[in-house]
Amino acid sequence: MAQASLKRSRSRRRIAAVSFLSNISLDGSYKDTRLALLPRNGAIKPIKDYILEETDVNEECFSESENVPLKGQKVHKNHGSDGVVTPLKVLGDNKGNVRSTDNTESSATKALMHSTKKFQKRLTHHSLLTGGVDGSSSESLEPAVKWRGGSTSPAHLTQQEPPKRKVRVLKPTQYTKFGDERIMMCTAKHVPFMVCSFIPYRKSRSELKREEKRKRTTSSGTRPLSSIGDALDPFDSLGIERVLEGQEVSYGYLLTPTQKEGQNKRDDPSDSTRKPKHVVARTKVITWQPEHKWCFSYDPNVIQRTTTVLSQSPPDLGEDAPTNVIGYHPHLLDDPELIAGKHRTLLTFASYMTSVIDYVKPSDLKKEINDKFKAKFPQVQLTLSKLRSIKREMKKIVKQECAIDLLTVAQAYVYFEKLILRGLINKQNRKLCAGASLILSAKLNDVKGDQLKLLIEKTENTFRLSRKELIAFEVAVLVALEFGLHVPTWQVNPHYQRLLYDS
Amino acid sequence: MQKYEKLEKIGEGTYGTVFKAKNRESHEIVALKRVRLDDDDEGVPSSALREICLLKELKHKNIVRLYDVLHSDKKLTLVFEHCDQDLKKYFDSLNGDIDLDIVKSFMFQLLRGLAFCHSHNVLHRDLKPQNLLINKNGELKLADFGLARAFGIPVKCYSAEVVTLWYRPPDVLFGAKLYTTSIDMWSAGCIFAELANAGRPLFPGSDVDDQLRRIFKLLGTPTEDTWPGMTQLPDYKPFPTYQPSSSLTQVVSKLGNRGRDLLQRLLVCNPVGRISADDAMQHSYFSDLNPTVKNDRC
Repeated sequence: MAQASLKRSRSRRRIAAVSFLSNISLDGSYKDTRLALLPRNGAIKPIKDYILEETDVNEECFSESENVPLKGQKVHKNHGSDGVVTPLKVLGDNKGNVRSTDNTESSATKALMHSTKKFQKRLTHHSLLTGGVDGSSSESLEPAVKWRGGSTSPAHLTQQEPPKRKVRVLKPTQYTKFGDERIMMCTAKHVPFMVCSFIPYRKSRSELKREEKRKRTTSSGTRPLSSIGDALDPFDSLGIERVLEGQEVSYGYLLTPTQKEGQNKRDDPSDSTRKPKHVVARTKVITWQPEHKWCFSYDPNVIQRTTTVLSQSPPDLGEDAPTNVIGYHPHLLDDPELIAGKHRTLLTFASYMTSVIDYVKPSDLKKEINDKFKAKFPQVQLTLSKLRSIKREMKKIVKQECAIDLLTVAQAYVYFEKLILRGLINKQNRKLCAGASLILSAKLNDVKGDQLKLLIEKTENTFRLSRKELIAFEVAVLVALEFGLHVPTWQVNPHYQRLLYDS
Repeated sequence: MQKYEKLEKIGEGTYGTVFKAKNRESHEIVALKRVRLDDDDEGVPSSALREICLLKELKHKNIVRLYDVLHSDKKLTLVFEHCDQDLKKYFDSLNGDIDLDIVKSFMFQLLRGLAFCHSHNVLHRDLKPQNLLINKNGELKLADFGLARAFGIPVKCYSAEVVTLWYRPPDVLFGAKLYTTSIDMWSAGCIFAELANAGRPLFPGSDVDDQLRRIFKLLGTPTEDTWPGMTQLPDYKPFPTYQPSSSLTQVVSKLGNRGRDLLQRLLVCNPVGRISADDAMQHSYFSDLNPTVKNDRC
């Protein structure tokens, strides 16, 4: 009995599944599905007025770039051009600003007509369409921008008769450009029905390569000297677009002077008023106060000092963003305070202060510190302990093997950390980049002749790299740093002082 | 198609050939420096690195502009602003006679370019007439930053093998490995005298000893009193005590009193006593400088 009902429900599910699958349109026209034969359902309310979204920059329709219902929108009904759906653009920088578009009826319509072609081309090219509002990438094989002018909301598309479909073409205009971002389409009632994201081609490619490499390398215990066969492409690895072999690439756009990068950002008072996102090392403060006896608090000063808010997205190295997006500070990544973990209690007495550091197993401490680092820099594919060990090795090469001044090391740290902050360093390229940073720094610090030869040799040996690869990475690192090897003293000196103090 | 059309070879730089070329689109004349990259070698030559990374930060009317860097598999091409000639060639065309207003204008522009470098923590370390470019409008530009370096954190690891012998200051001749902007000010002084003499070098020494002897003969041999710490320099060796000769008047006879005073403040053996570029620009010698030169800001 029970089995029979189970069977029945199973077969029902089976039928449902088969009918669902057979109703997936292959070309988007629905002619090849059974539903194409269904009569038009009267229950479908055609939505007459699609609107052109126009919002001021401040009027955010999404508090995040993700799925937040639209409200409080300024609505411009665009009766003249029914059936036009504008992509609501959500900028990729997570600010959630919507760029305003010019909204004169005719020009906008025209512009939109223009827009779709390119838009569609891109969509099919990248083949990453999101089905729902949720912003997660679910794959749909339907070309997204196909519907009949002014007929239905796409939610009802499956039940609708599709005789002759007009293709709306959305082309980028002066005001609307489809960059590396997420695009959302809305109906007149501000119901978002389609979200799609553009993923830059080069990034996905290098990621693929990274995957490939990882599979290849994890099997072997110690890393062998890499052969030419599986050499990383240095430019690819650092996210720099490369043209065809034999052609020249112009880097003229990188030659703009670095304007006191980072400094302005750090001094910006609005920055400090912003709530810190991640608290790294907190110091518990217990103060003796006569009336309340023991007062227990987290020292706000300590919190402020140890937390830094970092812009999340790694800067694009494309032509649009030649300037430094991320502010650099010598203690940003490798925070000297980040050694003790959370197990610290500060006791402030009337006459003296003392802190109690609980015992932790070194492995636990390492894990805790690395976890904190990971939370602070989610885009960094490197643990803090690994960063510190690479830095130690860099110092060893210079100090013990080559007897070159520590200033070279300090400056190389700045280069290497900047690459890390840009999210460019991964397991495969970290030693190559560290080595290349060291050599670049040495060359700018009057290391030449035999001393330079020795340094290159020792770098090869210590990091187990081939010279060919190391040298190939030199130019790539130079470009990834936007030729910014002449760094201000305040960026180098803290590293230098720390190195002097440690040795 | 190549963006630039090579016109002629201008010369052989420290690390490659320099060509005069024309931009095919804008028809602008540029100078191209070719740098070969060999995989098995030491990578990018440090002089090319210095030029790229330092000139990126140094955009000034009196400093040669780096327009572009082109990269292909085996070479790096640096695209520079082109100037008609350098100061050396200009001297050769003079036949021993120079307008003193031009001396003043060139000297001021040299100091202004230098002051800009120094304010951006860059030492040029190879100032000489060949590295000062001059265009048709009488503008002077500092070029060839292949030996330049950053300063800021004082470490005793700077190279002592810098600056062409004739323009090298006594402290570096004695092997000083820690120096600062004063290194360029000495060279500027030598160039100033050379300008005033329409191209006759001030100290054309044949080797380090001869160079130092020539300097001390004119300025007098410094002592521990006038230059504390001199005897501790790595390559210090005692020289006969020459008295400061009053022949500076004869050496730069055309220069007036004010000009001679400025020269004397530049050519100071003790690096600490040398005038800075900023202060030199304020010197009374430039008080009657053509205002169009003076106000010509970058």
